[in-house]
Amino acid sequence: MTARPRALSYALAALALVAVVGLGARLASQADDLGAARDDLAGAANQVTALRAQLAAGVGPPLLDAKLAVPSDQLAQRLRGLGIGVREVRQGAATAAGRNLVAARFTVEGQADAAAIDRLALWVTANGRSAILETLSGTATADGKSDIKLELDALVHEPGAAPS
Amino acid sequence: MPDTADFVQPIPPDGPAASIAAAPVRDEIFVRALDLPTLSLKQARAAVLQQLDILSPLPPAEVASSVVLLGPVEEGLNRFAVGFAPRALLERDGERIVTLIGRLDGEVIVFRFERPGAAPGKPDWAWRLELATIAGLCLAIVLAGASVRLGREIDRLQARTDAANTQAQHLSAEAASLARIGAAWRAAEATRQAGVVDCALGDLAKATGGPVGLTRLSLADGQLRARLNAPATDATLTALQAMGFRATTAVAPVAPPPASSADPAPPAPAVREVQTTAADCR
Repeated sequence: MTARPRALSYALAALALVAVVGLGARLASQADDLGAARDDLAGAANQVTALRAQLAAGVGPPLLDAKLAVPSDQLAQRLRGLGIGVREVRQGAATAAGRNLVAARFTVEGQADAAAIDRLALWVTANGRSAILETLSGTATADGKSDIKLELDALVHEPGAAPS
Repeated sequence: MPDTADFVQPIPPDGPAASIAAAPVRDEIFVRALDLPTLSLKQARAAVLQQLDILSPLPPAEVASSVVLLGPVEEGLNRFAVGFAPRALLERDGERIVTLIGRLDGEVIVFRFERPGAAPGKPDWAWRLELATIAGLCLAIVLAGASVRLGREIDRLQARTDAANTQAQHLSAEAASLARIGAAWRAAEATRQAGVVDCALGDLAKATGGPVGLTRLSLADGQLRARLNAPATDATLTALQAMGFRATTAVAPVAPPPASSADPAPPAPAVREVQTTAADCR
């Protein structure tokens, strides 16, 4: 074997030692960082899952589905089913209420007798998580019926609705 | 023991015999023959070490010896060439084994001396250091590769974590907004109960003992107001009050002022409007 100057051998050995120790320390530090990064990622993923579940629930089940027909038309049809003579349904302001849901204000004008008003009240009560009867006013008319005006808040399913 | 002895020179690096002859002779290596009744180099070395003070031309503490078997000389005896080299000569070189050439009766003999300090059987620290250095450098290369790989993995995880955090932040804002809307919705759901309409209409019918005529009905903020088309009788009013209604409008009847303090008390005002809430209606 070719003789190498002893100082060079020692220098190379020291260099190797320093490199191994330095890289070992760096690797240990990186292993810690990796563990921390994995923990962070798991925490963030759990948070995202929990928030998605929370948002998926939304405020409540939808009363109307915008995919099927215009929400005001759907509401008019349902009110007619309760015996209310609907003259006009207007959709007012809407507020996003979770995934693909909006809480919309509907103003309805029409004619109804006491029984129809009673059925309306029971129908809104039955759909309490999806609709809120904000106001109702009725004025008796000569034919024994009443002119009514009501404001109803209802949850509408609107795919692609802006997030809340 | 033969009496022949020669002085030889160290072998040059390229080691050809021709250069030995050309080089000036220096009295650094002493060679002598030794006949022993053994073939074992180990026993021969032991014998030389035992008689080093006799065989060596130099003080035993300053000399190193090397033994080479030459061959049988007589029955039962074998000739060994014993080389003696000053320790100082061997220490000049860093190698563990120093090869020198000596001459015995004109015959060239190659001796291998162990460097002082590197006793036979003891570890060769220089060689081990060399090996350790090579192993260390290899390990360093492996560690560097692992470090680069780990760094990339950390960067990848960090990027994924950042993306998840951004998404969580976005979803948190959505959830907070949804929570506000949900709270408002639930509060409205609790106060604006449509069931009060059904309850009130039923109670009005019960209190009047049959169909009741209303001129106006209104529901706002969870409170229902009903205006009767005729003033409520005392019995009706009492029954309504028992059912959670309150009279809201009192229409005083047109009557002359009392003539004297002895006159009877004025009649109770006619009640045409009542109100109730979901909490009161029963």
